[in-house]
Amino acid sequence: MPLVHEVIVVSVLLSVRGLKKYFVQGGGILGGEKEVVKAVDGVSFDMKRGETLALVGESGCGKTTTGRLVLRLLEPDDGEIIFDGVNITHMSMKELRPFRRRMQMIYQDPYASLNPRKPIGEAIAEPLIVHGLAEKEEAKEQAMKMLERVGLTPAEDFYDRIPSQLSGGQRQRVVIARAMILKPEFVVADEPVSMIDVSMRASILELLKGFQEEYGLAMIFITHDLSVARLVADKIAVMYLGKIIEYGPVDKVLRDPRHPYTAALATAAPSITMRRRKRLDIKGEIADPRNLPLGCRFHPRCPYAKEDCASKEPELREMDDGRLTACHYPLEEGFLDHWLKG
Amino acid sequence: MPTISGITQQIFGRKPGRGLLLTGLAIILAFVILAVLAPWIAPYGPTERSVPSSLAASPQPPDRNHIMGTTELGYDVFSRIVWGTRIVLYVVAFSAILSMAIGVPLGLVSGFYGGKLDRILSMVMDSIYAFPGIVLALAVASVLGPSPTNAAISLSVVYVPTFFRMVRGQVLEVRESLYVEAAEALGYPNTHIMLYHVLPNVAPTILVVFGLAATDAILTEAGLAFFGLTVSYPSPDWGLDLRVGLRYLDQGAWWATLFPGIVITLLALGFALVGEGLGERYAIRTER
Repeated sequence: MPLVHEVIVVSVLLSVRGLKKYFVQGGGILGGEKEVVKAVDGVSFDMKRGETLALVGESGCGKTTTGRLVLRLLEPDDGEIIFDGVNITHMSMKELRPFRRRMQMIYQDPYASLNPRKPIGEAIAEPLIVHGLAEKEEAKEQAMKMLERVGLTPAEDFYDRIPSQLSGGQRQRVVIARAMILKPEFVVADEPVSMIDVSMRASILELLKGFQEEYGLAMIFITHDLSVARLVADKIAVMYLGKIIEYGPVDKVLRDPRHPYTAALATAAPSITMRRRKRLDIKGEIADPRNLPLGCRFHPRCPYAKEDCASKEPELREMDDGRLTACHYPLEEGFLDHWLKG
Repeated sequence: MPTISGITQQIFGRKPGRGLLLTGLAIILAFVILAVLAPWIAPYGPTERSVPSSLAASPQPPDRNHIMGTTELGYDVFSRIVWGTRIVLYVVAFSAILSMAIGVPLGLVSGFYGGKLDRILSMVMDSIYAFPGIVLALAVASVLGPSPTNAAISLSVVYVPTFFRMVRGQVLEVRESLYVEAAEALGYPNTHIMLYHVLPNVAPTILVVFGLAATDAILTEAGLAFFGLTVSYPSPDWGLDLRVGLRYLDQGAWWATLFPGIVITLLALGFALVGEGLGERYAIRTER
């Protein structure tokens, strides 16, 4: 084991271009209108090794679908996924297998993502055996170490337990251990703490961060909780109805949003420590994804919408500080601070 | 790995359905003992003339030497029931295991992979399922010819679709579960996912269906035997004895039909209780 591990490889690990996923509903034998839900509608981003990207947005905005598409757990309808220089978009399940080892998923629901009849120790050792990385005995040994590492001690006591004998937080530790035993380079964490007791959340996030530093792991962190996003992420991508509407360094974007929707999200979160002063209210509900508004998807709810917002769809473009915003009339720099005081 | 203590815990532990399960298993076990120890338990051979020839040619009511009476040929009814257990258990076990061995893998593959294969298999199974069990078994058995093994095969034809449908339905449900997607995300091959993640979660259903199929098989076997499609008289089989006994019912020889009828019902009850008990334990709904 080298003591110094200082060779910093600054390279793009994951590159996503124009990713689309449309779900078709209805139109069965009994007729009825076919309806197309544009769950993900042209998403592009790059990720460096070791980087954490928070995907945020309301439920139904396509953040989970994006995560599953990137891992090829869903077939994209269009676009490309380049992982470490290799286009994996159209690979067969068999060709994909070596890549599966390098990219992992951590699910939101620790109750449903573990096989209820498999002892957790075996569940953690299994990936090593299936991928031919270790024989049974050695895999067990490594699984034991992993159990210790994620705080399920003493490991011998936990090895043979089945998931129903564990709490939600403990199960999520098992899910993390199972994903991390393969030493992946990239992981999608889909709201990994939203179903966990509040008291356990911080320690689970710590655990993830620990692995991330150790392995130089790139992570897509899907969440609707902006404070969690701010805690774990380097970059943030705000999604609305299947599109990224703002993208940039997490602090910059959340402190000083340029897209009205980001501003609304940033002021909507309740806060105990800061007495929440004002909320930038947006009108109505998120639009029906089967029936998207023309022009900017956000315009029916936008307090600053102008006439051409209803006809022309804005592209993501670079602002003067380097971030990307998809708005015809982006907010002024420092808008939020100003607005909160005023 | 299931351990011995784990298995006993499964059966005897204080869990739902324990009473049903234990009663059922006790009944089945009793019949298995009868079958295995028949030469020692039965006082006479199945085709042994056990009464003086002066009394033969008319059935004798139960007495001290013949607790269930005798048939018109002087055979001891109790001994014939004991010996008959062997044929019945052989046919029932053979057919239930054979139909499980065919129905479960087909249901597993069909439900897991879906597609064209699934549609074809489902159609074939549904068309078999559409026949009333006894009619289908009779038809197949008549074609194959009378013998216990042929009877077992014709019963299997009836129960393969039952296993297929129940397993396929469960697989469809399990396949949608998050832990199966998680297994896929971990890069496990399909066969591995099917055998180690789907099958274990379908296993309780298989046990329940096994109980139901065996229950039904006992009654249907009795039907086949009744029509002489398992063994030929005077070999002992409960269903066959029932029919032969029927001829003497109007002479008041109730014992030659009543006792075979009781054991058929009792053994069927044993398997039904096991099936019900397992169903209750694992909260599995079954359609019949």
